[in-house]
Amino acid sequence: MRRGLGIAGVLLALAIPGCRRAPASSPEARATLDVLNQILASKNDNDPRLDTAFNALTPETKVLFRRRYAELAPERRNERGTIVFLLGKNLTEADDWAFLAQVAAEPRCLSLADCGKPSRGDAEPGDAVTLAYPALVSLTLVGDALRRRSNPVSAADVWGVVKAAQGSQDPKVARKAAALQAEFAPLSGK
Amino acid sequence: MLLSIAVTVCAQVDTGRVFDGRGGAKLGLPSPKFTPAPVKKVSDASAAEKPQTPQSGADLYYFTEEDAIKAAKLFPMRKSSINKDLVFDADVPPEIQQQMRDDMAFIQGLQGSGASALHQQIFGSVAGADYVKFFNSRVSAIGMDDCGSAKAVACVIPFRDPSRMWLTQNFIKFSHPQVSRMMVVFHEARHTETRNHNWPHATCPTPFLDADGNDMKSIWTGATLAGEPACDKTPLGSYGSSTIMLKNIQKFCTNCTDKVKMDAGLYADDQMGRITNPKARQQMQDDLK
Repeated sequence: MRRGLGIAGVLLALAIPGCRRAPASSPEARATLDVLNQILASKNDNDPRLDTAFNALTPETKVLFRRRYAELAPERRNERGTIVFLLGKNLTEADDWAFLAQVAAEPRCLSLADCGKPSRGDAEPGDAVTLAYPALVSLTLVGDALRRRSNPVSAADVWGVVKAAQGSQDPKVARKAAALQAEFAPLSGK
Repeated sequence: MLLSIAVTVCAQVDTGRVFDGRGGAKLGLPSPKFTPAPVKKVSDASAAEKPQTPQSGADLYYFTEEDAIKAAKLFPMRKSSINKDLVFDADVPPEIQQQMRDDMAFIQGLQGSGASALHQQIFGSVAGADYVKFFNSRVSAIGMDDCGSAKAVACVIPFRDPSRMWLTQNFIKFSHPQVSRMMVVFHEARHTETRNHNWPHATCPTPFLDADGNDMKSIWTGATLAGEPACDKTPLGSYGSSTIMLKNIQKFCTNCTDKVKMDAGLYADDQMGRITNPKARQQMQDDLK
């Protein structure tokens, strides 16, 4: 009996930390997340705060944003792409690039109603872009970073994103990655 | 028992982590209530002449120039007038009306530092007032329809009413960037022009190849777009004009966020692929230099 309790106690000790909430975030980080949520809810892509309120995200805020991205259903293409766009303006750490690579390698979204299932019917102009939108934003930011060279770009980080996208099942994503490869690889010797 | 306590505690903690849509993030999920479009009363004469709506299998409602000419005979040319505001049928759900008004407010607020020649010809300046005038002088009213496809967002059906635009529930259900929604709406607005036979789409060439020499295919069916009415041969058609609009927003808008400009470029580049006439493509590329 005592032995059984001991085992259960060990399991409890292991289980609790594993499901513990993330450390409480600072009021500043939560306030920035609130601004993001307001903008996403408004569906206003021309909110000037998109250009002003997210230009110096702290590592803590980036974690909140990445978590927010994961909470959104895959079908929320614009909301997800918006978060990628904002994180892509703050590429300062390896984790930032790893996130872009993760987005670029996501499974192909098969329909706007349900990313997991193709649907019948005729497409709207531009649907192919929306389906690939988060990954296309990710690659656009990689292209911008390569052109400007204003970020502390690590070749391994950049090409990690491009390589991840080249394996995408979405032809638009794979094609954009190939275009980046063709444009910049000769310059970097890749 | 301790283990079950651990599991219970863990479940409660996890529940607290599940996003519940609060905290300011109302994501605009579609209302489950669907208001069907009312049954349209048509005269016996017009009903007899009403053509069937063909589906291309690769794009939205498909009508030919001949269909547009027939429709023009059924409906008198719209008198030159500009709606002062958007006009909605009574069955357009409030949330769709609100999204359309919000999106048009976004367009109305745009300011630009210039415009290409083709943009001047089609829309005028890169300026909200010119875009709104373009839209309100063409679209007499907005109603609800399924537009013949589970994926459609908007359509114009010339033989039902060439100046009316139809929206679907997908207008608010699908999560498109704002500039993409407006691209679709302005694409459809171009289709209301009776005097131009509603700018029917052109048949894509056979073979229809992308820049890498691969067949251009419908991402939905995998079918090649070659031979399908899903292209334009002129910069002035629906694909061409919406591409020009977006490229000009990308290049000249002075009060757009970086995201709007990025989105405008992404969608314009995609639409450019539907312009299949080499001279038309070259004209558009030269126009934007």
